Amino acid sequence: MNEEQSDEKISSHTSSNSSFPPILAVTGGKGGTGKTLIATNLAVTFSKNNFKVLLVDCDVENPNSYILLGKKLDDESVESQSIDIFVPKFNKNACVKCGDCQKACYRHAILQFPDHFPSVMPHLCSGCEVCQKICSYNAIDSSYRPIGKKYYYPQTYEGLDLLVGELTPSEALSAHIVEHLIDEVQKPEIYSKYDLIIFDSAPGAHCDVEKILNASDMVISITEPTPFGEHDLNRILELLEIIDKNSYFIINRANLTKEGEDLSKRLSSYESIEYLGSVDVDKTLMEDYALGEPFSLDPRTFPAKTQFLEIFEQIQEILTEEFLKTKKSSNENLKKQKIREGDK
Amino acid sequence: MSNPLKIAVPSTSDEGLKAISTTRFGRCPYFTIVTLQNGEIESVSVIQNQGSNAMGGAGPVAVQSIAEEGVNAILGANYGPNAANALKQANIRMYSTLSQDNPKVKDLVTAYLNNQLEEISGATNPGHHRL
Repeated sequence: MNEEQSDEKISSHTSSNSSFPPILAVTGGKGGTGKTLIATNLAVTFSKNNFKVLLVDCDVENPNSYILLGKKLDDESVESQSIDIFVPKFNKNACVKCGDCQKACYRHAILQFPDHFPSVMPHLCSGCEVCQKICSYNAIDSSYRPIGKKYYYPQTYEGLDLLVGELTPSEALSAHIVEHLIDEVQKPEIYSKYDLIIFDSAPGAHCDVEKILNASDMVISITEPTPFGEHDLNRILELLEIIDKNSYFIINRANLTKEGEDLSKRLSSYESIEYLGSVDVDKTLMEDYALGEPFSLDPRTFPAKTQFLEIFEQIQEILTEEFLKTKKSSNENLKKQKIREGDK
Repeated sequence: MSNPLKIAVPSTSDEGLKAISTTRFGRCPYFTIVTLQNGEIESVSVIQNQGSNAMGGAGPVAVQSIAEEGVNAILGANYGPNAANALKQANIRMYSTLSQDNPKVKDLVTAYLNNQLEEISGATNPGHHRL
């Protein structure tokens, strides 16, 4: 990436107090707790309340938020673009077969046999560019290979655009796709269009999730009242402690077990996390889910929708109250993110 | 009179021809390298496999180390896709193992000299590679 450009990006939102929107991340550790369900329904409800919203599907190994919005990525309004990473290209006119690149490659992606030119095994290459940097003969040119795609789907609903990151199956560099999505929303031509950005995170507490939470102003964890839900939520809480962020949480399928109430009581004693409410198991919600329709847009009245809308009101209030503050911290987060990237 | 042929056998110890072979190519602890001349064993040496402790890319590292020894053929292993690809680039021919359990290096070399080992053209098992 061009460093000058990224510096400019940062200063453009620090100096002018410009309209960088708050970023809300939906996460939770365990898979299947309803992260995407809550993220998509928050997104449509905010857009219904006249917010211009960008929903970013950061679960790049299984990006399926569009299904819960009842949409297809082959829609003609969708723009798709390949996401590429560096891979070395050896210039045989300049290469002296010294073997330095082979020795420097920490992934062992470069082969160089006696009297042969070096070659690369692209699947092992992480795109770190060390080979190019250490080559004394400038014999390594930049080439790029695709590892995934991004899809930009405008107006999935009125006021709601969707950005999806997708890692090609069998590729290992999911964090690279996530970084690309974070960079994308930092572009003025993107963020200036929105009042709110929602990141839908992957399950787990790994570096993809860490990057997303780090770049966010408000984190909402979705859990379920099972030992698995609590265990994995605790992993997210550990991660949040490491990156020094607070989180709110929602219990989904709260009446699934008797332990649900105990769980919320237990979690409410945690200092680092604040309870927003719970959503019960609800047949109407399940019907909408199975049809791929956001349940919050269902005209019927049913308990889970009422519970969700109460949670929504709270989130909207927090965002509105904190809006100026979050704008500032959002800039700080992006700066932090940039510094981290600079460290690498 | 042909050129000497160097063959490598993935081995569990450094005991030369007596060592028990292993089908693990990328992460075997040793390679026993046997030099053949006119169908006879001329000399035997042992190298440690640098791939055995590699964080990733063990197959390519192993290929790199035997290629630097001038090896022409490898016997008795299973080959992952990265290893097979690298071996081909290094012009090192791949041969199968014997059906008996835990053959010794000598058993494999004898079988090779008697044309009892099958030459393999590509990967025999899926990769273990993860970034």
